[in-house]
Amino acid sequence: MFGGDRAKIKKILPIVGLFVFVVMAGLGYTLDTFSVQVLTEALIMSLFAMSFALLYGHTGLLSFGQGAYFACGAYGFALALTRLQMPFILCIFIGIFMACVWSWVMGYLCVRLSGIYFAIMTVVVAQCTFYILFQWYSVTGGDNGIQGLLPPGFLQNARHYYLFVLFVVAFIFIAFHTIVNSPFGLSLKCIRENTVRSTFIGIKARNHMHKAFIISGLLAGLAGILFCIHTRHVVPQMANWQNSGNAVFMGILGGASSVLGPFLGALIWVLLDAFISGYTERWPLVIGFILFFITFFAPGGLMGMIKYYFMRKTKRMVTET
Amino acid sequence: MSIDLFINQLFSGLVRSALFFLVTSGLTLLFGVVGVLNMSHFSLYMVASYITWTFSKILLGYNFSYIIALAMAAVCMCTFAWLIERLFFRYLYNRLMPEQLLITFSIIYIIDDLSKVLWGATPLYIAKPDFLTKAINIGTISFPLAGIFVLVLGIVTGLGTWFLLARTRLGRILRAAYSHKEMISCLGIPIKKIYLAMFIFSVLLVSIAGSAWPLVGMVDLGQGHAILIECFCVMVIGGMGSFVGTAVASLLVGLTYSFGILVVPKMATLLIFCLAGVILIFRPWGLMGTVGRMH
Repeated sequence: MFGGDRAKIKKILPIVGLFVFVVMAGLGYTLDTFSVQVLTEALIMSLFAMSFALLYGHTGLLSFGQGAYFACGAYGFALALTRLQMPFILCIFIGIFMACVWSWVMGYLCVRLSGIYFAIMTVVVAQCTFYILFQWYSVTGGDNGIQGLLPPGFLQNARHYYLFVLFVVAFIFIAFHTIVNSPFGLSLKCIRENTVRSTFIGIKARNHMHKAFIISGLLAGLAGILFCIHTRHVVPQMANWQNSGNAVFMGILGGASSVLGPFLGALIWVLLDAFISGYTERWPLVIGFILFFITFFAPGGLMGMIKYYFMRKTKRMVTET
Repeated sequence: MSIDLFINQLFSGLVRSALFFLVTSGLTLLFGVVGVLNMSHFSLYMVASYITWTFSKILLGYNFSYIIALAMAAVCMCTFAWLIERLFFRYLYNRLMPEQLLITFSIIYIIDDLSKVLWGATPLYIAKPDFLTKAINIGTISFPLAGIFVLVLGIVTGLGTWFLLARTRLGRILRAAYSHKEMISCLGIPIKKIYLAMFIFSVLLVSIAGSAWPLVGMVDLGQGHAILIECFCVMVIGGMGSFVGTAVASLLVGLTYSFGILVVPKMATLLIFCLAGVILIFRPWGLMGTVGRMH
């Protein structure tokens, strides 16, 4: 990112990360409750954006159906909590498990396709998930969803919940960073650059894509669980195209192929959502135009722009000296 | 199953197929010739329905107000398509596939929200023209004329398009434009104009579909997304870019839906999804598509 300073950056990265973490934790105590809730949502949504970014930015698979796994995790959690009365932590794992199973099944179908077929199939899968949640009234509560998802006492406080989410997201962020830079992550990049040639050097492309699909389903499911605890209810609209579109929007806005991009995208999206929707009802219009211009003029997103800026700067310094 | 019920379901299945065919054929033709999948196709379908509603409301009371509304909607949609193509769509042809999808996806937000501003969020009904309110009764079975009209519209449009593609010089150029893009321009055929014409033609087809829909249902903001699963399934089952495949697949999907609804009333849409899934596992390029078109 900064040319020759790469090694130096790598050395101070953990310190910067810890600093950001401490500042974020401090914000949870100093800001007012509304801002803390907005930040909580931003953190949760960054997981959702990450699940899109892992598929699109790192593997080159364009998924328009991340909402399906988001909803799947949320419903798995909600059903376990309200119908089966299980302990809270177990419910979270059940939700993650549900999202993984659903993405395993659907991933099996989707990764057999490439390019446009893949994108279409993810849309269809998401719409079908929405349809099942909407129609299966006796289990999912249909249009009403499930209300009253209360976490255990100490998490009912918005600030405590913020810290809980912050810990989870920090853990996932480190895990995500590790995965992306592991041999597995590098082979995903190889698949993105050229699927056919990646098979020549012995990468099992379909197998790797399926794994990436499941991991992204897991991330989306976890985001769904944290989000439904945050809002205290689940609705079938979590699985529809608009919610999947939110993941696309956040991923693209921040820059899908960088690790920090989804965070940036989610933060901007949540801030816009919290403050613009107060001024105007035409929020989807704003989303549409931003997405349009970003994809048209800066496909790398905000992180791509930042990288481009620094690259140009270092290049200029090199030519001047 | 009694014979009456069978014929009834067959008829409603055929009407549904005609509608699926009208919506999907434009999408698949555009993909087949230009190579761009227009995600906002379903929003254009909804806009066409709204325009038909507006004109039939303005012309309420005149004879053949619906027919004029249909024609006017087609004219408006074609102008709109021309505008879209000139404004940004023509810059998409050389882009990467994900960017094409994302840009057309962002158009969904814009079109949907603008339609909400223009026509509101409440569902709208059009007054059916007099000659389409009756029904033909054969024995105990009655066939509503509105349904027959949609069916005829689907068949006529389908045959017309097939004739254009398979039997005329223009059709040959269109078919060649997909596989031999460079060669076509070397022969002095203006490929950019062919692409523009193709885009307008695909919107014309979806405009006919959008005008036909208010005869059998209500016009609302969700109508495009409601038909999305079926149409994408039709496209995938038939094979992307294959016109005849689309016709066959829409028949298959329409009939599966209308008979499936008897067996599993709530899950008929999922049945179609399963059908598409099975076909994709065994024939990923669709019934009539070719393997080369998968990439």
